[in-house]
Amino acid sequence: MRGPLVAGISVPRIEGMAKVRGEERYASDITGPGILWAVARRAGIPSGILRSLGDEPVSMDGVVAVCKADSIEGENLLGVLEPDQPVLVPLGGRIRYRGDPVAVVVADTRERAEAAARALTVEIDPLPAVFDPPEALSPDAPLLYPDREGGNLLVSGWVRRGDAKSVLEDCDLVEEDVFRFPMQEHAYLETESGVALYDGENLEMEVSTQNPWRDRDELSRALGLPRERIRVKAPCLGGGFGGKDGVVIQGILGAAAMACPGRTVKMVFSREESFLCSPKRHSSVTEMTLGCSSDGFLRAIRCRFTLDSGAYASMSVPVLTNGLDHCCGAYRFEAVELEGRAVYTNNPFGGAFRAFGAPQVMGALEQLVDRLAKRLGMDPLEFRKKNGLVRGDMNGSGVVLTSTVGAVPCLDRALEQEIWTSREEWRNSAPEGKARSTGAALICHGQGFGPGIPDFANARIELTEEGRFRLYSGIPDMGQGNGSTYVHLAGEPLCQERDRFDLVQPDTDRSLRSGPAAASRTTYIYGRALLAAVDELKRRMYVKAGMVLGAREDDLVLLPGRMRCISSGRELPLEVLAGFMELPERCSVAGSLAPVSFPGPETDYGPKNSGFPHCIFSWAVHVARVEVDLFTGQVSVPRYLAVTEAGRVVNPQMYRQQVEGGVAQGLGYALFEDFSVKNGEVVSKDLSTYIIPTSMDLPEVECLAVELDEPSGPKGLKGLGELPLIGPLPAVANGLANICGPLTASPFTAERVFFSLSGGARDEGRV
Amino acid sequence: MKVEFNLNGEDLSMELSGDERVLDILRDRVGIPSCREGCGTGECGACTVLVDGESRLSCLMVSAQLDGKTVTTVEGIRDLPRWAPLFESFDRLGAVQCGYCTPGMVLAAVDLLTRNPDPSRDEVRIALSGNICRCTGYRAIVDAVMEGAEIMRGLSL
Repeated sequence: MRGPLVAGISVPRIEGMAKVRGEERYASDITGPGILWAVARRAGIPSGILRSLGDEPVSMDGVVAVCKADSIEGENLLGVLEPDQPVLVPLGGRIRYRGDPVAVVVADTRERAEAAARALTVEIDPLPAVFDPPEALSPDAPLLYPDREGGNLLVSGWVRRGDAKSVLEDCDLVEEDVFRFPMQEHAYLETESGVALYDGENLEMEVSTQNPWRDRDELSRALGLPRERIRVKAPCLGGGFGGKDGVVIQGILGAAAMACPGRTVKMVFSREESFLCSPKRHSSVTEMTLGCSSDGFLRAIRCRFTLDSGAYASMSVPVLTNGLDHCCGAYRFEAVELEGRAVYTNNPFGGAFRAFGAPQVMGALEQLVDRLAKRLGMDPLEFRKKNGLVRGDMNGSGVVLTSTVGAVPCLDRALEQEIWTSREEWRNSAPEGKARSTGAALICHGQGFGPGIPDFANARIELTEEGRFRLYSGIPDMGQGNGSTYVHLAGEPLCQERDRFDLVQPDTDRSLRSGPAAASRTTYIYGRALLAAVDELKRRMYVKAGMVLGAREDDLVLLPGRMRCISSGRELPLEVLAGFMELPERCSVAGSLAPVSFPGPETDYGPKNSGFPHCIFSWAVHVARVEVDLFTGQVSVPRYLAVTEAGRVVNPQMYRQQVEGGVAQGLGYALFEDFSVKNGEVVSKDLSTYIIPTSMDLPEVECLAVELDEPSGPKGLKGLGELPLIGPLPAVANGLANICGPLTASPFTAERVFFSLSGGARDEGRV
Repeated sequence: MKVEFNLNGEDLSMELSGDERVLDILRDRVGIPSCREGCGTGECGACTVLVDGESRLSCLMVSAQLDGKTVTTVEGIRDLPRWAPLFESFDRLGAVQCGYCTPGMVLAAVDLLTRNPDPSRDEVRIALSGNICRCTGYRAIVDAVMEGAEIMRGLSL
């Protein structure tokens, strides 16, 4: 696009061409002469006590260091909310899953480091293990943390409003079921990777991460280095989706670097290691009951869901509370009774993954809603419209919605789309041996953190001596394009072209702390801070230009590359203007605290202060056409519509990317992705056994935006990252239910669908 | 063993053990970072290179297979006017998100368009099906290949 940036117009991302040309440098691409490679040795046993570690690698060719827990001087513990995860398991320490690292070997080549790590003798006294959450809660279950109050129950929470039990008894129609969804793997193309250099005093790390500042804090505590002696840089990530929101590689990489002062150490997880050791979307069991009146009003909901947290807490607590917050979806209820729990087991651990607990509950809710509509003989979208939240309503968590609410506008838009109005024709057009149907879902996702976690960002923008604008991003770009959106947001008020901006990716020494790339918060909160910083910079530029040109400030206007005096026509190029300004004047900083939560509504709720409830949401209606091969059970989704309300659209191209990408991952979750774990061992170890969608598997998604103007959002926008992932599973399930009956275990593989078609016993899935 | 091959127009002669992966040779010995590892087992396509003009997975090739071959990565074609419309379409149409898969995706497209300058959308989807993208849902990538191809046909390059 030529000309200054304008909100609402598509602009390609700022680093797009560098990525196409292969010039963008990811953490895994950093290389140089003399670089060392680190490889971790993993326990390989799901439960036990580490007894001894051999010294074999020390004498092997090329080996520079063997780092064990005793060489770590800090607390050796990682974990954002609960520091329960050792960087390296110490002798006598506990092994809690197969991926626990017991040592890191550093050598001059990756092959030698791998060989040396393999050669290391590891003696572990096995202990009984537990892999199933309900079993883990039984009184005689082996305890992962024997000294921990609460045993294997990591956290439980509840929400109660009204008397759900008696309202349900009074309901005319009730639907209930148990839904089982497996773990999901992020499967970002770039596995965990980074380089680190310790010079004897300072540790510098460039790593694929969603939150360099929190990494720095965690590394400081775990490795025993003061925070100011640690620098973490986040280049562009090769995908993240939540899986890089937390320390996965940083701890062992830092420990390896500190064992080799003066040498750059590189570490890249193999795909298999990434699958074993990165956090997963929690597998879940959701037991839900939903009741409505005969005239089609939803009245009460009861839900109990259980998440398998695996060996470590990671983000399980906020994932659980976010799940509770989304249990009631986009609907009004008289009475609500929700209960959730996350349980430690000896499985790989659950953590952050796009939509953070919401898919596990809305995947159930939206199927039950459809069943009620069907029993009432109502159009499922009309039924949703009747019950959908509007501004001023109280949502399931007891929050009176005072912000933009797009549920009903999205339903209205979906109702008039051809994919919906022609669904009878689609159903009747099935060729022999196939069946066709259309399913829909209404979804929502909260914006930012909930109470207890201040949702702030600090922006920094600078007019350089060359008359350019340097924008210091505080939040990593894992591919969603937030960095470019920051440029877009700043470009309009500054009236500048995209090419006049330089974007600095997050760096704890240069940009400012702004929290993680997570929780659909990134553009919203950093954008708020940035617009404030831009305002201040503009003000100073006008003051200075007024002085230089001898003009009143209201006689000046900022144009691409220059300031112009309206009455005289004299112009001041920005590089000349910058020459009159000292660095502190040219550099503007502003912070913002997002109004996305408040202390809490009138509801009985626990646990406190862990991200419940949200008060601003984005909304969407998803519609899927499905086709089933009646002989094989094979499911295809040839057409898909997403109608989304996430405030105003700043960059339609990137908006569409978020929607399509989320739907792609959601369709993967619905149809193919089965992260299979047996006895704590990952069975789907690679991309040939863990199937993610290819270009042959996905429909071309129709994307419609309902643009309500969110007054609290920068340029009226709201967050969008997580929302689109939630819809595909229930939309597809609702389509399939018309063909083969209810499907309560996912993914909806040909085998499951065929089994259901042939009237087999209920498939309980595997959790 | 001594392995001689042509990389992006330059003749190279290297002393290699016969079982080194071509991916590692390109990344770590020659310094071609755009050739990336996503899986190491031939599933994701991030390490795609052109060998004698055909797309191959460098993680599944060993050094001995390089001898006498011509290897092309995006570094070898990104400044050729012939392919400029394809690069520009990827950028302009938003076919790039995290970008980690993109060079491999471009090379798979180059292989297709060399054989078939006027493919259908389905043919593009089939040609790209060995290259996984976790971000886009592929629609924009297919758009980019279709539009790039159309512009290139117009230019008769």
